[in-house]
Amino acid sequence: MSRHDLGSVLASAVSDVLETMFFSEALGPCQPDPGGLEAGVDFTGELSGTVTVRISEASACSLAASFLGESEDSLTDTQIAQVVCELTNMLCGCILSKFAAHGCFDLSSPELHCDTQTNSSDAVHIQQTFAIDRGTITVSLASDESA
Amino acid sequence: MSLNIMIVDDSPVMRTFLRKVVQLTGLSVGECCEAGDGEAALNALRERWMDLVLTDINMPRMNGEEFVKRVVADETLADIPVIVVSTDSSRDRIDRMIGLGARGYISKPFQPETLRDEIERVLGVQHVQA
Repeated sequence: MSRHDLGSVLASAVSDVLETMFFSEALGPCQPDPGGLEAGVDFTGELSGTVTVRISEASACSLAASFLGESEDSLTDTQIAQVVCELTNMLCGCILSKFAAHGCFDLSSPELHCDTQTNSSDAVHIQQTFAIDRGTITVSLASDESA
Repeated sequence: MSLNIMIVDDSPVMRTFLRKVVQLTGLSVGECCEAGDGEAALNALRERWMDLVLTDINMPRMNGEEFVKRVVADETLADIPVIVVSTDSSRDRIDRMIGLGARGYISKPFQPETLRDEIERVLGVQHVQA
């Protein structure tokens, strides 16, 4: 699969997850906001690797409010972090289902990253950033095998 | 007739989401219980009958596969329908869970209507009232 195709897969997954589960939308590619919350999910199976999501804090709060059907003021930091983890989990599953529709994967539990982590030695790595309500979301796919 | 539903997922926010989506679908819901893993769910089911269980697959202590196997193997619980709600949409996984005894399967992400339709299909439309 070409990098262009991988990029399309990421964009499609972000749209699908945001629209169906968060009643939101990706507004188009852009440069990432600095900082924010970051979470990652490891996957193993026909391919192995990691999906990482970084999201602006304000966007995370907005998406968490939509997801939980609560006002932003009522949310705790823990709830927001858990929603970011669940968002990462769903994006990973959605990306893998589009990337390798017939494959069977095992996903790790999503983990919030205390510090921004980099994907260093993985052979295939693609990253895209999208504008969303009140900030940006950056989705990275790193795999240790070629598609 | 109101449905008593159990939601099994190790993510508290996903349990909240599913509870709210179930309520938004217009289904008549009575009691909605939650459990963080398969073992907690089994213990709860042995205390109180549920009309339906929605379960994730990847959970600590007892995952969704083991949970479905135990429900089906227990003659006091085997009639409780279990619907899997998972990020894994692979054909292999779906076939495996149905083969183990799950009555339905929903892949995340999903529209609320998808959840309602699957619940109605599994339970039979006549069991569900808005």
